[in-house]
Amino acid sequence: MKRKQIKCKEVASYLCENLTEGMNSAKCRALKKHLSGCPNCTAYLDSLRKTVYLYKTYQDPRTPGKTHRKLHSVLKLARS
Amino acid sequence: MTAEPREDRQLIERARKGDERAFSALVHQYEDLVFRFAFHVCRDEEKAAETLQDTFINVFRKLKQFDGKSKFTTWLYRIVANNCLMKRRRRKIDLASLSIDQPEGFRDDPLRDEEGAVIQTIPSWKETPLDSVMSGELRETLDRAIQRLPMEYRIVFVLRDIEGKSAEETAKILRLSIPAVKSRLRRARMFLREQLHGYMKA
Repeated sequence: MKRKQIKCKEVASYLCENLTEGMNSAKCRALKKHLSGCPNCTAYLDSLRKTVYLYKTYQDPRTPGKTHRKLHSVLKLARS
Repeated sequence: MTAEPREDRQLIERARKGDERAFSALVHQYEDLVFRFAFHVCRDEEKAAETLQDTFINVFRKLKQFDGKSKFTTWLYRIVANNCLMKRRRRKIDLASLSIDQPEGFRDDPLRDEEGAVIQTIPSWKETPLDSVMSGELRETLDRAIQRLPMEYRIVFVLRDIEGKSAEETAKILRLSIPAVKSRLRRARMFLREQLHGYMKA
């Protein structure tokens, strides 16, 4: 029986769900084959990776000094 | 207790028994984690500071209830997530915009050239800048997009893609099923990608 051809819509949905997972299953091999001939899905995958990268690298905040001091004085009060 | 460094397990145990210095050391140990997570979810320093305070007051009150069956950080993330969910603004959520199942530009029957190759109809994105050289406009775009994402989805996105938690741990933190975590993450990524597309397309 001929295997149903994978559609871009299905690829996009799968990529969104499994972006950071390994791509070694049978389904993933079919996706990779589709991606190699589909500039739209390739562009979509790249844009998803960039979306995650932008949020991951945008700001790595540390507790500001005044917030740290306030927290510890509030907790000291709560314990007394 | 599970998968906690030995020093942390001892600290947690001493704090549970009422050792104030141990509790204070525990707060020092985890306050940056709580602040960072709260900041990424709230996108606001003041709200993150408020969440940090509320979280550790809850930890202080409930530490004796922590049974050590889950990791301490799982329990901590859960308290922060609950605080964020309680603080969210009650608003009408544009859920329709989260039901994107076909991004703009995708066609069931893609356009092809004379040789049968698919013609690209989805614009490629430009290269991503480093955090230090992001323009003010891009920063505003990132903030606006994530603030439009409903809190239930935002928390999953932050835990999975920013904090790097697995689907299993995210499910434990939020007491959701793994398929529910995956579904929320898929929608969150699709939504954020669509929101950034206008700015990022080359």
